[in-house]
Amino acid sequence: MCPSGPIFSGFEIVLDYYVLRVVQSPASIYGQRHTKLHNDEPPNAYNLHRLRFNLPPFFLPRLPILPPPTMAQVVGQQILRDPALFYWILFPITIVMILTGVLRHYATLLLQSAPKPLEAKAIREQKNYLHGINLRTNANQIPLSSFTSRKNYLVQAFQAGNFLKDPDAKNKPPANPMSDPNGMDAMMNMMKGNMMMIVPQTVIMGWINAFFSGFVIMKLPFPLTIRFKSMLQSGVMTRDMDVRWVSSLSWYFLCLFGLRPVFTFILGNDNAADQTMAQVQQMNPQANTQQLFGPGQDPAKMYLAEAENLEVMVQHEFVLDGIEDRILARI
Amino acid sequence: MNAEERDLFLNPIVPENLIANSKTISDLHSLSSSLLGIAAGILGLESYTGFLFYLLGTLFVSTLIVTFVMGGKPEVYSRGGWKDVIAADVTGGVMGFVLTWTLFFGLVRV
Amino acid sequence: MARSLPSKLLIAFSSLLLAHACYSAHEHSLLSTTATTPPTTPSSSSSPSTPGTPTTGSSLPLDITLETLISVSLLLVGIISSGWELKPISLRNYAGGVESGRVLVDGQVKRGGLFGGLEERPGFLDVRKQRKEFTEWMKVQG
Repeated sequence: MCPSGPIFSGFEIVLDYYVLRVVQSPASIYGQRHTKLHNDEPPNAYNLHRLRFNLPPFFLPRLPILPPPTMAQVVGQQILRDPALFYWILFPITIVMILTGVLRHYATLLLQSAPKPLEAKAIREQKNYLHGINLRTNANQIPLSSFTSRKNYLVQAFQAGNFLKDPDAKNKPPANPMSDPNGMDAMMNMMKGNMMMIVPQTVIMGWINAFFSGFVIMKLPFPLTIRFKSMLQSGVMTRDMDVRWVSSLSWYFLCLFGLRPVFTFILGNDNAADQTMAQVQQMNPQANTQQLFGPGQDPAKMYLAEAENLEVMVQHEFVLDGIEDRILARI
Repeated sequence: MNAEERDLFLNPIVPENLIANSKTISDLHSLSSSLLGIAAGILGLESYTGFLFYLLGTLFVSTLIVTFVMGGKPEVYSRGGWKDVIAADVTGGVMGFVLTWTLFFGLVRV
Repeated sequence: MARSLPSKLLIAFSSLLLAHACYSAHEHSLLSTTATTPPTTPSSSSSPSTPGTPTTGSSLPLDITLETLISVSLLLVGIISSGWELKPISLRNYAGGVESGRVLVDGQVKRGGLFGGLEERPGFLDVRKQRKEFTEWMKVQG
């Protein structure tokens, strides 16, 4: 390989076969259709190819230079690439992707606003609701008498609405989440997260499309179906090039999905650099929010439902029942 | 209360440790799948051979994890035992594998 | 994750080996592409007697293959055996280990086990002293 060669990676080897034909064929021949083999024509690769591309009978023997790309050749296409493609396309994209991940991680850390401290009544509302849930899930850890007295107290208080933030709002329709400042805050956080994902993605894709489109930079080690051709070979307008030869945009996609181990070892495990993980977290926002009562939910109704749950809990099995037998069995 | 719930109730587990363990294991898997991708790229494996190599390598890594990190007792450190160690983070591992595989496949071959 | 010296050495050595294998594979493919005849002519023209001309450019020599495989397995062994810590998931094992000091919590021995906090009884609070401090603080604040 001589490094002073052209940066263009030579897919014109494949291209020129068709260009030559289009240039050299008279238009009148193209006007009619050639769908059948003549009697004296053997069904060899030349003729089948000729029929496939609707070329006249005398067409192929006249043309010099390249044999038609039969299937065997398409599988083993050889393209010599300039090493400069790696230095000036592959490595820049990779480095930019890694640095973008790091930047996104730190920007997310900066943009995260600390959850606003709630007022005392709201905290009381949340904590007592949690108390009910905890009592229900851990009922078996305490004796039946303790459980019953706790349950009676909580059910009574829940039904009376003792812990509500504003007991008068019991029968009002739930407030519009847009007007609620807490809801606005949560939505702002989601907006920020979305922005942190979408903006760098768009910018980098635009950058790659503007700078690096039209280069065939690498060969995938595994075959793909023809559907991926338009995506992976974007900017390379050759019809018969193997799908395994891909352009720079597909390296971008590979980096997008495969750089997670790199980020894990640069930034630690809980990083915000990876986009796929961020999307997963977007799907279930309930899991990591502090707020128990989301916007639009009526606390009074939730309290009533929880009281009912506590009341219908009949089965109680104390964890220490039969503990002696279990310990003796283990020894 | 069915038998499984009852067993979990009488022999409780520590969820934080469970999460931390599975994170460590999937970290190890993703790092090692990148290394396996480097090897596959250098060897010039193509299509099915490469993925077969990944599967064999994952099995090898799981064996190493069970021997070195877990001291031969996987059921102490993960709920599913062996199966959890092998199946940890397969999709992310494949992605990292494909990335380095492609990179080194292209870098090594002119 | 405290890496011990042997695993560090193992990682360094096998990384060198892997880099060397990568370089040799690159050189090999470079050599075979420049040495082989262009693909348009059939294989009859490239005589098998010429030394250093592999008939198929894609297959690696055995030593590079072995070097790659061995270096990657050694690297994996080095990384995995470099002190990753897991904690037992069952509460019985974990709490017992913490209490006896075998399992560390945040890198140190936790006194009294996981539920040691339940046994702690704070002493009496000196209310007078605290009140005095509060009044002084109020004076300073104005």
